[in-house]
Amino acid sequence: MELRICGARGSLPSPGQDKVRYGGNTSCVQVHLSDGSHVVLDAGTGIRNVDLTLDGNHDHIHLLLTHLHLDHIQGLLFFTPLFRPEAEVTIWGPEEGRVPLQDRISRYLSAPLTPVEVRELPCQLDFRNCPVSEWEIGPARFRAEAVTHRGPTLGFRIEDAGTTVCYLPDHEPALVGPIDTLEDSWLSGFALAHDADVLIHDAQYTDEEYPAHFGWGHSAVSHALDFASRCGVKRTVLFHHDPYHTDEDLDAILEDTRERWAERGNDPETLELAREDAVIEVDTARAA
Amino acid sequence: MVSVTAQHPVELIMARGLVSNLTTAAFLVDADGVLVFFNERAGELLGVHYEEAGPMAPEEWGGRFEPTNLDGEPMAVEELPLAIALQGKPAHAPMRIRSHQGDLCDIDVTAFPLEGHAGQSGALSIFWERAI
Repeated sequence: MELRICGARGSLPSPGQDKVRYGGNTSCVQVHLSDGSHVVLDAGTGIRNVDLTLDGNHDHIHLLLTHLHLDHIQGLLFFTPLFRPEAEVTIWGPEEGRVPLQDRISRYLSAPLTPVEVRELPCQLDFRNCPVSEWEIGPARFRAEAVTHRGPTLGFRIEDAGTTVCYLPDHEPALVGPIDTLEDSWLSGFALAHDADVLIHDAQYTDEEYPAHFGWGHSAVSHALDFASRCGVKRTVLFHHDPYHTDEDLDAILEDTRERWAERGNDPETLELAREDAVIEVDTARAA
Repeated sequence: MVSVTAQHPVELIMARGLVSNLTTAAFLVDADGVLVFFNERAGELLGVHYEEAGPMAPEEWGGRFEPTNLDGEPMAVEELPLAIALQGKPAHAPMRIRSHQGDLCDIDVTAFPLEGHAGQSGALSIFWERAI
């Protein structure tokens, strides 16, 4: 597998000269599978950066949404396959009560918020709730689990050609108690992340910022490290950067976090901050 | 394919966070009726802390309270609010129980199902204590 970070910012698009290196687009990750096809995780404003020229099957595109908060769907109307009549697009998302996924997304893709409505999209569009059990897309096996965040929110585990990626962009596992006091079975997201080759995980707040945002559904950096350690992941990519954090702030967070990661006995190079346009080779665990 | 690790559904995880912070006795069971968590006050009624007891099968914990109606007549398992909640319906009933200390307590029991992404994941029961 190969991952392309198309947007790593959380909550709000954050353009600016002080956010050029890590980027200001919100959550979107393109996953290039072993057969050359690809899936897209979340539809934040970073979806404009999805590379549609990749080799593989472009006739059917799968877009998996962790949840429907605005920063994860705001880019939908800028996903060009939706406007191609020949394109087949399946949008997967979390179940919520008895309201179909299409209806919930249509609340956003409709007047007065947008000029175009779902029914006007010319592509062959299909909406599906993510299955409770595992399912396959191309050569990969997917698993979705509800995780601790505000509102129905999923995390994903993707296994393909012997490698595993876990995507938990919005996740507050410490909400119910200190992570080191929770048994594995009580730790949100554990079943998705254990032994993953790459974990993409929420780390929106510094430890100092977190108390003022407790319960908002996001993690402090220390919680992301605790979670990654508990799950035994090989490489951790901190994600969903706070919109107030500049490149300089994020550099400082990375330096401090790597020191703490090393103090725990880990290779500091196995920890990084997601950067827009970065490509992560899951096989070799090295960024291009 | 890496084997899938068993994990409680997030509804149970979130409910545990709530239950552990209540001073009212509360119990959490999974979809099979296994008692997977109870709080401090519930532990006082049961005579054991969750940390010591761990999960309990329905037949192990259900009889500990010797539940009766307020006339002292034994209640069938299927009449208990928690059993009804495990069938997907919220329930409420007055009951008399015997605590671990041997005291008879009149209580009201509220139980409701927990449902989420994977369907019903368990139930939560609260014991509202009142003087006899």
